[in-house]
Amino acid sequence: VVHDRQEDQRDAELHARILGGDPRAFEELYRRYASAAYGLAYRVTSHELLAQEVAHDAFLVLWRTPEAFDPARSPFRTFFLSLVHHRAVDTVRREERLRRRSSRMNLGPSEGEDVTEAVVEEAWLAHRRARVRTALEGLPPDQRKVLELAYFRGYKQWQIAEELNIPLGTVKTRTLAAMRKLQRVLTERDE
Amino acid sequence: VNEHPAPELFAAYALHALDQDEMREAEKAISAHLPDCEECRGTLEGFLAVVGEIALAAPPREPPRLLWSRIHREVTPRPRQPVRLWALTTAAAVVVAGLSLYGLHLQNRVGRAEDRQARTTEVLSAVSDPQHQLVTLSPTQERPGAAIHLAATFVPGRSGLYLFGSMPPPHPHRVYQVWLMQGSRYSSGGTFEPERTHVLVRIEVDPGPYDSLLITEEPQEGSTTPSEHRVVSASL
Repeated sequence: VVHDRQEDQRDAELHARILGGDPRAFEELYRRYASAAYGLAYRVTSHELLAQEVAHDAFLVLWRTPEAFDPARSPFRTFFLSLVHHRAVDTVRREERLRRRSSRMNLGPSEGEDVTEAVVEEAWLAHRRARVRTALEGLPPDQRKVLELAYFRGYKQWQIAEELNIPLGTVKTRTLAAMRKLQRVLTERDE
Repeated sequence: VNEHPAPELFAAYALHALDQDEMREAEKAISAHLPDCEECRGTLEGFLAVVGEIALAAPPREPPRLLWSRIHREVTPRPRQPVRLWALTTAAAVVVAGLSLYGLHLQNRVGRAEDRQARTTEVLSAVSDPQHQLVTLSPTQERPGAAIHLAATFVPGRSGLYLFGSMPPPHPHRVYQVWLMQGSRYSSGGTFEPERTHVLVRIEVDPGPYDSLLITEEPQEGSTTPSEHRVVSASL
């Protein structure tokens, strides 16, 4: 936890330098988050070129409008990866044909797939990643499924209801339950 | 404090899982209620933090090196390129107002393999965009039958026009020059020479205002007006 906070502080320092237009700070933040951002974008879009575009655009947004991040509200990591996620989801929603393609793939975030060995990633981020995965695995399967469809496939809630053939209200209830449980687990581990 | 919005709304909002109408409703509720409600503000911020963490469940993936190459090029101020980018002489130049051209970034002058790869990726990215426009450049009457296979692609509303394909080298001590035409007005996009016969050129321009593209052969220093040595052209 202490290590996490040190890394968050490091991110905040780099961000402050980017506010001053320091390209070296930007490059260091790129090194710290490129594989996470690209991995997330690829997971959502299932398309290398689109994933590159998403990551490219997200980093340029960071460079051009660094003031969008407020270090008082969240760690840089969650801000930036949320930015990547939103752009990836918007992209995949524009590409319905990609949705059809990705629907044939197993997009579960942690089952039977781990390519982290092939990626040079800083230990603290890998550690954090393991904790998030464990937290997701701890969700009841029906809650996890709803969350995965929303997050990794960019489904809207009514689409999840159609996909799983369940009422929209059930989707909302499961989503809320999943989010609360994740929040509780991740917060407990941070304390 | 008005009525608390349903926490389900915050959860879905944080996940970006609402459709447009729901999103508007959520934003309205959030802007009206949250400033005065610490409890709901805390709920939403907590969910947003969770969403940021879920990102880490996606396996990391090493991006291609050219991704940084592309980003780096855009965050580094471009040096002025004295070579081939002639000063527009006020006497002769007819410049379309508002046009901002950096000139051509030539494949054979950029030199670095990564930049060439990056440009290739940009072209592929442009043509994979459902909105992209692709036009074929045809040899002009002055060059019928020339072994020229050139196309241009761009995405409307987005800056950048790419020329790619193959064409023979220009005559000795000559270069090719790109012109963007708008009725009888024209503006230069810069000069280039193929690498052997390959062409992959980016022009930093929004093609929107222009109705055609022309490539001429000009003296090495470039020209301020298109010569009669027209090589290829295309309607945009």
